[in-house]
Amino acid sequence: MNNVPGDPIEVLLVEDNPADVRLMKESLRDSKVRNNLHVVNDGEAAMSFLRREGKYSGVPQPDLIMLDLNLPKKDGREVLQEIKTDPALKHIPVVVVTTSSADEDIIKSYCLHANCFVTKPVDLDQFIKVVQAIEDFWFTIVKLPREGCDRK
Amino acid sequence: MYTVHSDKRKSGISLIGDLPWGTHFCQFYQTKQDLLDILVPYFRAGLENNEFCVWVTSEPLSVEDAKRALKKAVPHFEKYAKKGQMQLVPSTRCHNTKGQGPSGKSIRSEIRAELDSEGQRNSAILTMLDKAVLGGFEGLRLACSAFPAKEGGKVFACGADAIVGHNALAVFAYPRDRFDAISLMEVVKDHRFALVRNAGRWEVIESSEARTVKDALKRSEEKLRSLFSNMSEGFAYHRIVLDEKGKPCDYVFLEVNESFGRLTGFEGKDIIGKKVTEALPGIEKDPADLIGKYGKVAMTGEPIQFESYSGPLNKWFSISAFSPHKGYFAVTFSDITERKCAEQELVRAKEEWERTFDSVPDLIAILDNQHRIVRVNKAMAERLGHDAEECVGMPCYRYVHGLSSPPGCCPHSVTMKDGCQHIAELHEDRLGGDFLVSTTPLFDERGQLIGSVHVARDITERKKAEEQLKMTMTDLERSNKELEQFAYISSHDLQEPLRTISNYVQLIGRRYKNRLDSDADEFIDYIVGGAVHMQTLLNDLLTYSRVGSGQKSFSLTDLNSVLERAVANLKDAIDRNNAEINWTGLPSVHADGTRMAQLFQNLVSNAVKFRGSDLPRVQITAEHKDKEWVVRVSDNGIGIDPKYFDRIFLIFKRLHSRGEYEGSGIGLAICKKIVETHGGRIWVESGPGKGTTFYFTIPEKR
Repeated sequence: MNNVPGDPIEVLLVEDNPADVRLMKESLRDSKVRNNLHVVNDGEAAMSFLRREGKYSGVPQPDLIMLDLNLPKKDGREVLQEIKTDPALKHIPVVVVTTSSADEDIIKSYCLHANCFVTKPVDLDQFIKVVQAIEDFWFTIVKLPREGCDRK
Repeated sequence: MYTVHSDKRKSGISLIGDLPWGTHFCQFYQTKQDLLDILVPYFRAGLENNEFCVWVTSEPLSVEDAKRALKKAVPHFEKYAKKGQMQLVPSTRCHNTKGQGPSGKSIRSEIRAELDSEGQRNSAILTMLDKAVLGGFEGLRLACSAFPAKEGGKVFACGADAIVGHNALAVFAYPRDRFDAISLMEVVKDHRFALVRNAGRWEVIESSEARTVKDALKRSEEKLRSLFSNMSEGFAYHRIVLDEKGKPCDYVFLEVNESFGRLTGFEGKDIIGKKVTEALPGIEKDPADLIGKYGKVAMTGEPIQFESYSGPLNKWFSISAFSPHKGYFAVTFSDITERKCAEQELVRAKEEWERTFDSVPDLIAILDNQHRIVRVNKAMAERLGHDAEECVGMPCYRYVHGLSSPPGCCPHSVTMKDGCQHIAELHEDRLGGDFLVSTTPLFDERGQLIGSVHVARDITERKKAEEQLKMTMTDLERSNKELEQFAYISSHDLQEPLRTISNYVQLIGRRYKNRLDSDADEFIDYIVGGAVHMQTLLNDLLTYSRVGSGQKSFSLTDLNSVLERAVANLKDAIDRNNAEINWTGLPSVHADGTRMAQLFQNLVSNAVKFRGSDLPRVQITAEHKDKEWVVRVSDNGIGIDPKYFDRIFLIFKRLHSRGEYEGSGIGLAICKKIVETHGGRIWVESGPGKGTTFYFTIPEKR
């Protein structure tokens, strides 16, 4: 266990499709690692959450962001770009989780410094496997930073 | 100079000696013997020198008297008489002619009538001259009686005019008793000289006037002769021949110069004395009607000048003809064949140029530097609705464009400024269309800009087609973009609900496992299977739409390494089937490497997938042919029925059920699109059980 025991991992899911939100929640419910899943439904809300603006003033900074690319209001690519150019946010790993498997989406995402790119599988078992793999990798295998680049 | 009347003739009279042709003199007589004294030796000389001799006897000498005297004086007189060289004619005024009676329409009676008629004597002498020439004699020697003075009138030497200038000699006999000293001198003045018997001796009386005239004539004649002889123009002197109706029907060559021979090819000595109808047979039928023309000159004395083509000589001549004496004409002429040919060539070239100018479908106008129309071709005139001549001198901007000054875009204005050629595309409503106008400057020989050739090509149709094409291209671009957009949407927005359906159906299956029956589980499988297949189709569609769109990265690509990559990607399938993939000597081509790999991958994958019972063997070769590479991918698989050849390259067209062979049916459609993107073609040769060979071409250079 790489993280401090007892401290749940804060995960921000940026996803407009309630079916996928639900599926994600279902998949994470049985996780071995304690986690708090925060859900926002569009790009603007995502940025407000991250900057703790308005109704998000009291939220914690997430340890991991799961970002869909096709979002209402502000597109996932823009959100990614803003996060990765913001010194206060760019340390947060961003996992792009999307329906797309298009080359240009993959290339574009990595160019904007996405930490990984995952295509949502059609098959439920595959879907659950993928979410579990993300969970395993990011929640248990890798070490996540405790604070951002500007706080030294 | 070839001539028949230049030489001196023997007069036969010792007192006179030689005389030139054209001389006439007179004799005053009182007795028969006076006439015989002079005329017998005179005619003897004529007969002996091949002259045609005509003696019109005068009272009191009879024809018989004259004949007797001649017989006596002239050796072989009968011979001459037989030839008809000597004509003895009694004067009508002779009393003793009655006894002879009429001798039909003999020469003699004709001559007699005419020679004795005041008005006809001149023409009678000319007729005799013709007879002399045509009879092969060198000229005419004549003696005739002078006309006695009319009541209170003057005695005169009628017919003398016809002698001068011809191959003729004449003696006019006057009865001495009728003249006093003064009138005698008058008579002498009319002739070159007179023979008078004075105290039993013949004397020559020459009037000073006659002498002067003679000298002057001689000088001028010599001058003229040398002039005619040496001039480069041809010169010929002729006598006209009339038919029985008095119409010119022929002419006789009397004299020609050196140039005549050079220009006509006739030797002077051959043609002198010849009729033109003999020299140039058929000339009487020539439409140029030279005989008629010259006849008119000879009879009216009006000179003419004309150009004429001689068919027999195949030459053009410039001809001047004039008549020094009635019935005679002289011709000077020069060869203008060369000039005429040059003229004709010029005319021909001009006509050819005009024909060409008018047959060009482009609208051509030649403009001067003031924008005035110098000339337009037929197409231009027709388009303007005017005759070509009407347009000349009109300012083109007014006439063509209906403006008061040249239009701003006028390329002619620009050419007039800089002297260079200009091309512009213009629209002109008055001419009803779009035109490609070129103006090419025209310079005069001093290099001054004098105008331009303004050529307008009607490009209305082309313009329309261009517009159409542009619209089609825009449409096509838009529809392509929409298609790409659609394809992208397919990959995202269509897949998302698909995934949701699939995921949640599975979730239901899982959550309610024991509460649903086995049918429900099967149905759920079908729903999931359908969704998975749908997703494959959508992804394939996306791939297909991406080929040929977006950035193309063409570079020199080694097909060997591209194929290696494709084979590596297919490693699983190749191993599973124990397939053997061979290739040799593939070229490097200008292509997009990634797409080429995809192309090979699809073809090789098909070859392995549609294998027969034997182990799959795939052979890839290339051949250079007509500036392109033909790549050949052949297998020993199940083959394709030729009736499906067209179908296999269509998107989502499959020949087999999914149960037999997997796949969405897009592989070959993508292959076709890749090859076409590279400017090549793809086709197949196969038959069921015969294996399949795919060919595709890649141009050598793009």
